[in-house]
Amino acid sequence: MVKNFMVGVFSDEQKLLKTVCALRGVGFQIHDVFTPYVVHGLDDAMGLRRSRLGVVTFLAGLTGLALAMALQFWTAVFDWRINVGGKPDNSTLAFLPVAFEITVLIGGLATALAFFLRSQLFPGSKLRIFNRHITDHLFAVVLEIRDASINPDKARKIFWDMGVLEVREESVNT
Amino acid sequence: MNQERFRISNKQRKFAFSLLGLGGLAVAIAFFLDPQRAWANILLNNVYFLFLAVSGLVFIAIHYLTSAGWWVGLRRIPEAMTAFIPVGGGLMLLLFFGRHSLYEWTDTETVAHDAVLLGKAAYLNTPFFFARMIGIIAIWSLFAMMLRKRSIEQDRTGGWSAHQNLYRLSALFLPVFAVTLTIASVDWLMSLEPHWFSTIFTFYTFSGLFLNGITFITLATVLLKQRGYLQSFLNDDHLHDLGKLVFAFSSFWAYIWVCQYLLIWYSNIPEETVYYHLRTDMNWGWLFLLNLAMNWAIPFLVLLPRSSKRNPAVLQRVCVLLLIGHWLDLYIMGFPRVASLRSIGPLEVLITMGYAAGFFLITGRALSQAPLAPRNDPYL
Repeated sequence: MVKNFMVGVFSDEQKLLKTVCALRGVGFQIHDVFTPYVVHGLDDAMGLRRSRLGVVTFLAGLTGLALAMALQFWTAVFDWRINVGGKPDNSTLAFLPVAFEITVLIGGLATALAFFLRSQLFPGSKLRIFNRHITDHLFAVVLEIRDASINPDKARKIFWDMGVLEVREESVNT
Repeated sequence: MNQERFRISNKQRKFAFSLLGLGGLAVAIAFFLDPQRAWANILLNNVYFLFLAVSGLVFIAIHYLTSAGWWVGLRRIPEAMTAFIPVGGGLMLLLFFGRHSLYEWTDTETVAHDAVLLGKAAYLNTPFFFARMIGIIAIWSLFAMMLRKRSIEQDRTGGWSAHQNLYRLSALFLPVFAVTLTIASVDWLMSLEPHWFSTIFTFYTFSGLFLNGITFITLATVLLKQRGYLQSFLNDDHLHDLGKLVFAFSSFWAYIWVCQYLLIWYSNIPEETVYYHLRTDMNWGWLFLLNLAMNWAIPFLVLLPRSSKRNPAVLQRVCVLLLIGHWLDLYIMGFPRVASLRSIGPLEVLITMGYAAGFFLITGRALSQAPLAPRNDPYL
């Protein structure tokens, strides 16, 4: 499948923010915005909904907690009972440090993994570099031209009005 | 230029003074009924409010050292809290007259017949104890005064050198604070049970102190914002940051709580377990659990979602819960050995309200003496 993109490159974050607002104002869908550093207010301007990464962390953490408690309970009470200083077999308090660590470990790993998968950062994923300089001094707004109902000339006009450095159309094979 | 100032209304002042009067009356009644209980109350509230005042200093120092920019708008709140240090310190010195009711090692007769206390007598003796106390209070007051003075100077002069100055003072304060708080917590609280010891006790005290400081600052911020102050300086993101700090340090407190409890439970040595033995018996057991619920379990669950950290009404309730929770925490640390029976009654409530009113009057006065928002800060 071939996807068509329009890339507008900026050197100024204020112009970038205004462009993003203007494009969304007339109904364009922003595919993505690339910036060399965090730009305040960009999330709101792009209309991004809140990240759901926290849900992954929470569920993975709960899983880790349950696994760790179950493992310790099963080994200490059923599978291989050892008398430690006369304490009861089910010494839940002593399970806490391990349970805490496993909760953090599984929660953290799952969060990182989910992030990489969702942003398609894994070996073999296809790189789509719209501009070489988005990691040092330039900003890029990328629009996806999905169908004929989206008028590229209108978008181009907005880009030029906002003081873009360069507008380019690009087709990518996916 | 923004010259907005905080004002205590006449109604608030009258209310605070009447609470202060009621508190004084309650102290007098307590002395009449049971002097030991009165002294225990005075110690508890002195420590609570003095530590609360010092936590403002710690908050300031940490934010200078980390070169934080987000907090500048609310800097006057911790600064105003530190104005209570000399007053709280003065009240602390009153303990000289109640030392025999609180600290059994002040009685030379008892010490002479007790090998453990005799071994500690070189450190735990009345002159040295109060000399340390005076030293600690003097150091804290001095730092509070200097930081406050420089900060208000900066309003006028501005520039980087004032900031550098405050930065250096903060760098000096934190190690000094670590040592002085160690001495303060061991002296004032741990020596209530002079045979018992816990090497993590200072850290436990610190976790409670810092949590309480952040909680108070959050509550003050929410209340000031509700009354229309600081509108152009603080938005929902500031509340969110404060909520995250409260959430994190509540969990930090619970972590240190477990560290102390777990190790003592694990090693099971009688001279260490005696502390928890007393606190988990019939009389105190439910307070012991309530402490964990108020300071960690409830705040943790309530503050977990993002929306509640950005909601002033929720933050306000959690902060009030935590402020009371920390009082309970100190109560459980200090009271069981001094007052043999559990006794949270009208007297305790009134005395604490009296202290709270005094704290409000002094910090409120300090807050009203300078523009509410700092000016000319390089981070502003």
